[in-house]
Amino acid sequence: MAAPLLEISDLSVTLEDRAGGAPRRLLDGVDLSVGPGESVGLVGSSGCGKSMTALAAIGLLPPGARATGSIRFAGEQLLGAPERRLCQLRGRGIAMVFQEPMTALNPIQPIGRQVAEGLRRHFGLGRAAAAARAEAVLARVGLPAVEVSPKRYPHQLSGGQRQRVGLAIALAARPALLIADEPTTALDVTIQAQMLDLIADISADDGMALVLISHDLRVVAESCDRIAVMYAGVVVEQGPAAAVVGAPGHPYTRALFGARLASAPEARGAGCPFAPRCPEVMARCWTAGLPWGVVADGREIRCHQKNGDRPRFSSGKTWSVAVFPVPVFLGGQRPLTSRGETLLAVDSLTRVYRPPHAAVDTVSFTLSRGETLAIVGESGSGKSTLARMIVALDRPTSGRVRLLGRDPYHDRRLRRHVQMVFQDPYGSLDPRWRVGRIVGEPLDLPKAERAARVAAALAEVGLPADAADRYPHAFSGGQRQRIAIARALITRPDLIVADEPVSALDLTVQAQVLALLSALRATAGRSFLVISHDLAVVAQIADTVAVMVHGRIVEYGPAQAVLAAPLHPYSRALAAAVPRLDPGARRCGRRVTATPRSADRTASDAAGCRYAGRCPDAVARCRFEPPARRPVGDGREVACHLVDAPVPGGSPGGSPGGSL
Amino acid sequence: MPAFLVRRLAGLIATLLGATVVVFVVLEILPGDPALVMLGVTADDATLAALRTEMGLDRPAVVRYLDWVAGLVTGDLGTSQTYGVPVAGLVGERIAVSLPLALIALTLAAALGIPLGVVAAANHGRPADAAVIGAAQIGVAMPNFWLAILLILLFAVELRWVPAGGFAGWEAGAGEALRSLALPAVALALPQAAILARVTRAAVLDQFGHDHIRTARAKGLSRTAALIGHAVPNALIPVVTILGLQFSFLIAGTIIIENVFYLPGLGRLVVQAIAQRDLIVLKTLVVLLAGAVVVVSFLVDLAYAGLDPRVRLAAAAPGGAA
Amino acid sequence: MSGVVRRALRSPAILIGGTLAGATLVATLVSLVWTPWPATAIDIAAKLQGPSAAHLLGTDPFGRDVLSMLMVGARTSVVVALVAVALGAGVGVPLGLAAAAIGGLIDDLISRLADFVFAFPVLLSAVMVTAVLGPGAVNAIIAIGLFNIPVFARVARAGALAIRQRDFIAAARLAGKGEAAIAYQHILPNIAALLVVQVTIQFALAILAEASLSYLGLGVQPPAPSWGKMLNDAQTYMFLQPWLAVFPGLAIALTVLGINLLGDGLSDLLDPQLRRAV
Repeated sequence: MAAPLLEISDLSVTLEDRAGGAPRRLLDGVDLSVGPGESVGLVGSSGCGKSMTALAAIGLLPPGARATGSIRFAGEQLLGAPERRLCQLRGRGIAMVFQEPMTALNPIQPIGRQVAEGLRRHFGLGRAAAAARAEAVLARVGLPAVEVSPKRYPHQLSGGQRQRVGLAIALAARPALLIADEPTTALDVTIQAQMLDLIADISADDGMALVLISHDLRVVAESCDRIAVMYAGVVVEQGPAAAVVGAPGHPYTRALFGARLASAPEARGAGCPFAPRCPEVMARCWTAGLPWGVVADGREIRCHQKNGDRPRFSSGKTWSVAVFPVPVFLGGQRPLTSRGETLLAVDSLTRVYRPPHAAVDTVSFTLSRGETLAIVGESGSGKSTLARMIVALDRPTSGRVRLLGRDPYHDRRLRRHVQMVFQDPYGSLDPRWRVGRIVGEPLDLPKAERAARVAAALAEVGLPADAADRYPHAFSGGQRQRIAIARALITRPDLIVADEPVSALDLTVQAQVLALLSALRATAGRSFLVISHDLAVVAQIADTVAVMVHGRIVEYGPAQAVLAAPLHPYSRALAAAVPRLDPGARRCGRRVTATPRSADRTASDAAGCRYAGRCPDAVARCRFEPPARRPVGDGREVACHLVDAPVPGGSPGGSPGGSL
Repeated sequence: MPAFLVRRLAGLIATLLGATVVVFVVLEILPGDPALVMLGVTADDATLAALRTEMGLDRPAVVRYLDWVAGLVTGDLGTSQTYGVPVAGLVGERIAVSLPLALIALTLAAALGIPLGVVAAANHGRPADAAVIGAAQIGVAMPNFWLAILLILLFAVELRWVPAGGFAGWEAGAGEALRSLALPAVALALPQAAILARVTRAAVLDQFGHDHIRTARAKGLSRTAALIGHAVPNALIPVVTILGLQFSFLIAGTIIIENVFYLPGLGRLVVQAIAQRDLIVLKTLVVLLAGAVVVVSFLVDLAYAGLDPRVRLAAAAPGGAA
Repeated sequence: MSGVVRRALRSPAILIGGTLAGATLVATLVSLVWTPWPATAIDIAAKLQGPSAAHLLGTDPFGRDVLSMLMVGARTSVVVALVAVALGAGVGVPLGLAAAAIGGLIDDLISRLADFVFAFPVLLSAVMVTAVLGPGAVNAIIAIGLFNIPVFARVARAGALAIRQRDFIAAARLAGKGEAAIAYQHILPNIAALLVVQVTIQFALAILAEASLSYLGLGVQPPAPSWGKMLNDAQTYMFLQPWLAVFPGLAIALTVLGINLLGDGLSDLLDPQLRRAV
């Protein structure tokens, strides 16, 4: 192996406590090395120290943070290096792309200037020369000047475009190493796929080394040669992507693949930081330090189990448990042999905020008692607006919502029949209220009776009864979401609308909350409407799926059929964009996303199909005639001119990467 | 003219008209008989009647109001009861003192407060920062008229560098006139500079927390370059808003500071007009000062659009070309 | 809660600020039952003295004891500021909450009205009120209070708008709560920290404004002592007795400094909550 480009060894970072308490330890002896041209994925849940490792490498730790250990870049020690030297290296040697495209750019400077700034700094270019080079870099990341002028300001761009600008800024001075910190987390799935392709292509073309940071194992698996898994400030496992994915060794890595975890606090003692939550914890895990154990396939694992006593995870053996983030059907769908009584009927529902653009455009469907319908779509597709109209938080511009045959917007008594679970468990609970009062808020009952109902609801979602006396801040994200679910359950509603119920949670916690929602469906007569952008979530919970894009439902049908063989071009693009556990797929070009024509997420004018502007298969007719939703057999309905004949249950064919 | 400018201009005119209505109602309708207010209960009936006729109080209120507003536009504002000269001339004479005073003070406050705020933020947590914070705390807490008195004690009474009060007049030469405005301007400016320093410091520190500063640093910019190139321009946006608000404090400030220094400006005229119950002068003065505040906040809005492309482009969009 | 108290006692800003503001409050309360000398007792023989054992802070041109006058003057300042801020918050906060809750035309109207009142700085509105009512403490309270209304309305409106974005408000609506109940039960507790900090800011400004008004003779009338009026008298005699110009100014500045420090300390203390709330 060539000399590493970046070599981090025994890196520890502590952050002093502003209130005067003991310093917090953020990183605890991190070892990580990246060879020239190599791509390394850094995975872990939020707060595990991934970003801190990256910031330490680029010398931009937050004020009050102290680093010890060693960070070498091309042999040069960076820890303690003079600031002048670090300024020369940043951008030129090591560059970085950040997570939030909305805030990572200077809002009052044109994008061209922001890209040119690094060029002027590192190469001493004049204004005009730097501007010309910046234009070329922007074109390279898919923002050619003819389409997106370098004179535009960040707020005039879409999220995906802004992230491309962020990438252009990082790439401008042709760095030897690019660190990308969750570069796609804030983006929609289809945009995310394009972005990952772009990063993989450019790093391969330039021979640039890449550190890709993500909470999503699938994302790094596809794009990286090697994977390092972090937990609580420690790298617990690292090795070739194929080895780590094929046979995850450390119990935490396996947890990332969907194993159940105890939700214990992350207590820090002398031993393994993962011990309190580890399902395979042994006595010595609590006390003994963590030596690296080397497994035959070039992997290193920091776990006592891997050091001699039980070599259960040898290389070559394929991990056999169903791997969670891949949409497999965990008994999610129940056959809809007999559709029950219609609970909810939505008819030509339309919501216009800024004419003429309709956020929700003539949407119709029905939901039966006991059925779970998932509405899938990207951000801005109108799915949340639809949900808000169904629960009467928003007023339709036209069309009707009928719950139990009545209009929930005007009939206040209907409100107890429908409740909602919101996306952000930190925003959906009043921080000034105790949990008992929060959960009991929808109830209009005497005190004692209310307390009993609250206790029952808390028990139903798996929370202890004494939770009622505490404030929300005492709970983790997953527990808060359970509280929100308890509040939704307490009126014993007929319909629960869940808007992205798990997308704000860490992967391991997502699995638990999804399992809870799944279990709650068993109650007779209770229907769920789940809004999600994540097909993996949908696959686990839905009976029926509606795919929404630009305010319209373009495909609707039984979950099994829609997910297994999507028909509408958008559904296919969505399915193809879902990251899969396919190590190195993007690096060796095995995985190429069908790139829609324009990177911009804009709806076409209302005359034709709203998706026509982005559709790779669009024909002339699509631009003039809006497609109606028509049944295509197997209980499915599709709104697309290109899908005409009823499909006899098989794959429609003709689309690469269509199947889930 | 862009549509947003038209809208803002219409708003400005509406606010100005509203101000005239309020002032008219408060000063001419609420007191009942303005002539009685002006002359006092000891005045004899003949004098009262004469003044009523002169003020046109026998006409309906609406007519009087319209007449006055027309006068505000044309400059025919009637004759001062106490000074016996046309109000327009009186006001013009006094503006020649107040306007330069307010502008000098504003410039001084900005030139002192903004750089100090930036320096404090750049040295966050270090002695320079603590010194600026401490000085600003004291500056904000000191009433400007007390500061003025202390300045007089030091520079006029002890050191005898400048006059303790009064105004040499512009005809005595710009240097002499500015000398008599020096202490008043400093007394007005220091508390405002303290506020500006605090606001600027907070705004720059807030920018340091933003992701785009990290992006700039990751490009290879030094801390100072990121500060000057990215943090300060963004931080100036809220600072400009404060600067606009400060003008209204300065207007209020001139009322009191001119009285401390016996400067013949609008502020002193206001207090004299109250003492002499000269409602004719007073209503015009109040409208003028309130109008100045409104106009400045309008100008600040325009400056805001110039500084922030988000405002500029969002505002321009409905007008057509984006 | 006890954690908050403990952190408050460790904050130098709160300690110093509390001491300074507390001293003024104590002087106010003590002046109700005792002052070193009767505050209005004229003794021409003892006029214009510097600080001495008999008169700790000296005497004024009429031989009145400056310390006693300052204590009674504190009462004026505190009462005027307290009533004015209470008036501003009492009217402004409900207006702001209503503007945020109802939106649309009402919101526009309240916001325009707030902009409009801002066109009349405290001194200017005091000038108008004086022209109608004549000078006095009530005049000062009305002028300062009027100006405080839009300040509180704006803060409450902005805070409420931010809180209303949060999903727990939507959840409350789904629970069947009306707008008034949501404003009172959810929004008010969540913007309380914001309002407390604003109260300290406005209180300090009100003390300054009251002093300015009485300096100009538009506030409390003689013989009732007030800090601003004392400074006005002091200016006349500053060549003879400079001390006269020092102590009333110090009283104002230290009181305002104390309240400002207290506000800063509280805002730091409540900052995580402010941040979480807005």
